[in-house]
Amino acid sequence: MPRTPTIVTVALALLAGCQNAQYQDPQGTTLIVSLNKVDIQDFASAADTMVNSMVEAGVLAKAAHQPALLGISKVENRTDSQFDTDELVKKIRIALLKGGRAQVTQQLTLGNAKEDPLGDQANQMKKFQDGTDRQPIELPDFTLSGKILFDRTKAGSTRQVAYIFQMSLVDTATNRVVWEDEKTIVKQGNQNQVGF
Amino acid sequence: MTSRVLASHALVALVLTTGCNTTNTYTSNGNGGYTSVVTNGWLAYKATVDNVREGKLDDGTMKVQIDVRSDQLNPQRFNYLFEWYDAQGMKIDSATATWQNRFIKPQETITLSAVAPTRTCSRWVLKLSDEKQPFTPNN
Repeated sequence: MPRTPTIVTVALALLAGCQNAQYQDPQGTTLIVSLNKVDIQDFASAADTMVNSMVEAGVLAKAAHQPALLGISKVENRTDSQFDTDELVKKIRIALLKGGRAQVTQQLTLGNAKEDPLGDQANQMKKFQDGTDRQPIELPDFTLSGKILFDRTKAGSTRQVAYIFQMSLVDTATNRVVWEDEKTIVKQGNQNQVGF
Repeated sequence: MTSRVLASHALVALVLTTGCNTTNTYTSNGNGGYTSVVTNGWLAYKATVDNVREGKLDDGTMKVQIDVRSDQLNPQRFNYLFEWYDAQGMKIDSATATWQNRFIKPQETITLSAVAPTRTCSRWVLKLSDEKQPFTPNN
């Protein structure tokens, strides 16, 4: 049987871990856990904690407008890895918007940077055509700001990284911080691994 | 021959009881209680639901706290996910829903909390899983 060794070799090669690329559930438990960066499941977990805490505090539900009008302020990435903080902020926004708890204003933005410039331009033209362009702009009830910090340490060959997510909500009527929370995600090990 | 049959049956039984990396599911019954579907005995031994408390926020949003107990004598980890459903039984997706990993000390009881993503949610489902279970093909 000259084919037998070939078949055995192929079978062994397959079993030995020739792993082809495959899709993973972004909410699932088979995602890579990294020691050198914030993973997508970390952003989701932090956003989940923040939204639950914010809703539970009941601050948004007390706003004069319903749903509350939210302005997005500065959310800083102070970690040693590069990422867009929208990986966190957008999840929070989506959850609040879909839950009917808040809407985000484009009228007042940090540095006057409009997320959707065409939408803003259309709004200004509509106001001009309607003759309402001289009316005061609608100001947000709250502004959302935050920081993502990190702490890295090691003991022997074991590495540990902590990512600290901090968020605050300021009531624009009083300029007081009316809600704050912090979520720390700690990962420890020798190397990145698949699944958790 | 008989011993071989017995051995194979024992092996199948072992795989069924300890080897299946399945999810245990706890579902609210809408009256403050819950029903459970436990298919993973190993997981239930280190994370089993003891008690459920349901409540509502001022704006009517549902909130739930679930006590989970470990009967193990060693520290363990498990994963959990909350899903939410409205009165019609339709699933309400949340932008932030994700499986989360929890550490539990020996014989400890911890509390998992969740707030419904919308005011229309009236039922919750808690799923528990264990990716690092021994004797599974994943390891």
